Amino acid sequence: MPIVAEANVSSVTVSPQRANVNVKGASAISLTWNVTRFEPTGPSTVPVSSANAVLQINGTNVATLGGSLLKQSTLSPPQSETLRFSEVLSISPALARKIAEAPAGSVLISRIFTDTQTTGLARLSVFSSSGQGGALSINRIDLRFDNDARTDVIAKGDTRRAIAEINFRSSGLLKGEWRIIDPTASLGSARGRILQVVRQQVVSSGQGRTRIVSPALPTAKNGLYLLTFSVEDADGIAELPVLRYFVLEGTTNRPEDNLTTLSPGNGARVSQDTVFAWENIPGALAYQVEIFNPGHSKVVSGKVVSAKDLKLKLSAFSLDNLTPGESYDWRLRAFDKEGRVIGSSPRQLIYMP
Amino acid sequence: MVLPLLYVQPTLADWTANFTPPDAPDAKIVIDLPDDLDVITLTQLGVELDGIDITSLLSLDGVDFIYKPLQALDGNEHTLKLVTLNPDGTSKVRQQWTFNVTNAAPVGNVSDLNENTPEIEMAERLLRSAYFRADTLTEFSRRVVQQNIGHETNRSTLSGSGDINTGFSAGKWTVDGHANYLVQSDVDFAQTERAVDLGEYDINADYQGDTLAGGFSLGHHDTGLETLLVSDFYRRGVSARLGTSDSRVEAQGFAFGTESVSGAADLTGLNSTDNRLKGVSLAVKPFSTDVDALKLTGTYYDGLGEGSGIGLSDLDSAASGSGWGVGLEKSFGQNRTRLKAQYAHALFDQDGDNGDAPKDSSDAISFLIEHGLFEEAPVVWDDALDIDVGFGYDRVDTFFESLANPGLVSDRDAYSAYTNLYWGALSANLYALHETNNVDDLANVPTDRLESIDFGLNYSFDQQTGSTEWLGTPYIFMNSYLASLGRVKTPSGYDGGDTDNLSSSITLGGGANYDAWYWSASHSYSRFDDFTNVSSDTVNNLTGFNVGWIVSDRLDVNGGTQFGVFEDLDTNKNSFSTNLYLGATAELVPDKVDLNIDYNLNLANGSGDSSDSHIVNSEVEWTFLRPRTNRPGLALALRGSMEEFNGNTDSAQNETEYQAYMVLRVKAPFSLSY
Repeated sequence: MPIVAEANVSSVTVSPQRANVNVKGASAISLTWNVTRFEPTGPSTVPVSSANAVLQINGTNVATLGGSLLKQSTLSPPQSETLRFSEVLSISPALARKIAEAPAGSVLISRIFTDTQTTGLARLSVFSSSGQGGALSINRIDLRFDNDARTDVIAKGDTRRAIAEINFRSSGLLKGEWRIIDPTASLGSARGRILQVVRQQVVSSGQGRTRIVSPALPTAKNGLYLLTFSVEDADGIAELPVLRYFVLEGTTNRPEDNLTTLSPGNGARVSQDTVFAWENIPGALAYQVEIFNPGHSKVVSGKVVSAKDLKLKLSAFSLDNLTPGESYDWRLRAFDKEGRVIGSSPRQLIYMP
Repeated sequence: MVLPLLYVQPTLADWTANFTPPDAPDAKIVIDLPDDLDVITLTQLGVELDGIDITSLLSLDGVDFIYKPLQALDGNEHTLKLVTLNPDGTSKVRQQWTFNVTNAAPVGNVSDLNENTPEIEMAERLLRSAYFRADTLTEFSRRVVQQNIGHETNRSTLSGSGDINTGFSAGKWTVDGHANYLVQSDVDFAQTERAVDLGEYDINADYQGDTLAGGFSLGHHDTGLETLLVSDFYRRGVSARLGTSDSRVEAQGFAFGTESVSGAADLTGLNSTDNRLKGVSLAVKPFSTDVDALKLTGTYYDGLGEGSGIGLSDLDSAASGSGWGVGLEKSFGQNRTRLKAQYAHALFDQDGDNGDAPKDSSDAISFLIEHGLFEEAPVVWDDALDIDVGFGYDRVDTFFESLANPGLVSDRDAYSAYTNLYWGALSANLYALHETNNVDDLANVPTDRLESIDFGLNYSFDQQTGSTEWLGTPYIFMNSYLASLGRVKTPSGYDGGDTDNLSSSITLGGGANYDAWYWSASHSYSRFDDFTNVSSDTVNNLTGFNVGWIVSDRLDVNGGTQFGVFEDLDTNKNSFSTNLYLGATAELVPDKVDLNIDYNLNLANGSGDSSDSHIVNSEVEWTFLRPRTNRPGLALALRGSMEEFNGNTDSAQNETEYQAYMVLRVKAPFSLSY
């Protein structure tokens, strides 16, 4: 005849006691359930279990979450022990939506634990947020080169940068690194070296976006390079994107949109006193401002200066090439000592009054 | 040999310069000035080549002007002007020469042809418009030594790549194509599962008629649309466009894959029905085509795509989306005042038609007005002052999403204002934002408010002379912002935590350029204070320094370092990181032997300690047959790397890895033109 144990579940608690889920997309809630029981009679081994968690809104069961939890508990009187059950509950987009639309304070997740003799219940409150509060969370990284490509073949010595478009939730310090694997190691190493450390304070009212530009990528050696932007707090990203570029002795590539101009502003009225200014790029011998009729490729005016200068003003005779009352496109190009174009800015508008 | 075509005698000359045209495409251009020309006159001269003012790059040989073209001159006609600069700011062309350079490559853009172009020239340029250019590199690598490289690769591998450009013109059609490919015999490390595979490609055909213009694109490209529904969308797909040649009407249809793909397996990018969208746009200028013309744009799209592509993670099924939008653009006063307004309506189901989440119907609006303060920029201390101001309003519903605008930030009701100032080489900008969230007023979601202000400036100094010559040509920059996030409305019964924090950041930097070297430095300070104590208060300092030196025509060296300190003010735990890079590129034997070597150091200590690493990469390449167009070159290289990791307190992480390869390299540039 089996011995019937008379154990008791004296308390069940859960940590944390409240949780936030995102309004959109799937979410995960990490929970720890603590079940305390004592043994008042004889020694026994009993199973302590819970079939599933339940999501309730306004007291109505809306969904079952998680799976069965089970642990064996062996106690002799008058011992007691606390069993810890950890789990991660997945909240589907549909549930997240219901939680967001429910009255505040009406959403609970509960679990009932039993040791076959007695039961205990714990519950936590669930709230919704657009991402505000809590720690910074990176949920999207889109990597590309500054010519928009994701796979590229670059001429040796050309200037090319990568751009990381990052979407995030909440606010905090973005800790990232541009990491690169050189051709000398791209067949053997998975770690690579740090090209640049990025520490950028980002802030949003819930969801935010930032754009991080890499330093000029190395293009001195022939071969395959692998580039990524690794970042902390990227729990929502399954796999970091990797850019590939192969460097060869090139003559046909022309870098585009890799020069940053500082002035004048788009659509500015141009005169002899207008200053064209830009950021430098390594390896430049000279910079050339070129002015075109809109949509055309033939230069109608411009000026070239040594790379020691990061600004220029157009001469009177350069302005004489422009017709008053007309708008023009302008861009900046950088040349290296071999005569190659190693940089080019996007076209912008100027107006000749 | 040079063919002077035209010689314009000076009309006001009391002296005459002689032009000695170049005898080769890359030869120097020489203007022979009279030997007795006085210095004052010399400083009042300017020179223009093909519309470009080249005065500042002229060198003097006695009193002769000499200019070394940045690029070899092409076979087209060139125009050289000698200009006199008058004290009142005006100028006058003193002499002008036109010339051609034989043995130079004839080039010309067919788009620059017009009805005035002579028929013979037009026919010749069209005939010569077909071209094919390819740069290729293939290398056979044999690993000769290795230690602890972690994951095995084939000892011998064939790898390489190529970049191909081709095109032609026929009548009013211009066709251009570009593609690249990658080779990797060890398919475990290949871009795709193929040893040889396409990377990215694009083919563009454009028609430019007298009344109609159009064309189509295939491969990787962007629609060029920047709307609430379609923006920054560079993918593989197809698009077709048709409109009037004066751009009064422009219509476009497009279909793209929503994922970034490479390889030839999905050549159009449209193979997957779960990752595909299609759409149309129509832009009309109903009243005129001038620079201020009113432009109306309509856009529609629908499709399916991965939720992770727009930042919605862990979704098993493809999201479905569609939307339509209208836009208005109008400027006034020759683009001085610019107005842009948009409205978009989106239907979006984040877990697709088979998921339980509802399909959301949502809206977004955007309004922006910009204005240049001065009709004619005032001159302040010899420099023009220009100021732009702008005001914007954006309202994007909580569940607004578009598969064709994957980075869009939704759930925001934002007012913004900005000003840009340009004064000489000083540019500065100020941006202020007031934004709230929970646009859909969800019952279980609090409403927070973000207020921020950003300020940045850049300034480039003139090249320093005299006692400050050692400063070279310096520049400085600064970026800063202050952002406050707080709670506006907390729903009754809400216990999900408060929001009250302050973020601040400032970056100061500068640098200088010299004839043979440059340096730059920056320091960033960032602070985050969470007054609810949900997150730690933190301070981060990051300092960087870079330098480069062209020691000679055969030796370049460069280096950089970063030092960072991260402080958790709640736990009093600090972490430090140090990075150092040193590199050199040398031509050991001219045109024969090249050396590349670099050293990288990464130290991380304090809280969150990780391994220190030292990495050395190096390659020596011996070119025994230099490549020329349509004649491959051969080179032999020895390349390798050594990585040493030091786990500090965890000796299990101590490890040294190295590998070295012998590489036989074939470099083959091809070029064909007709």
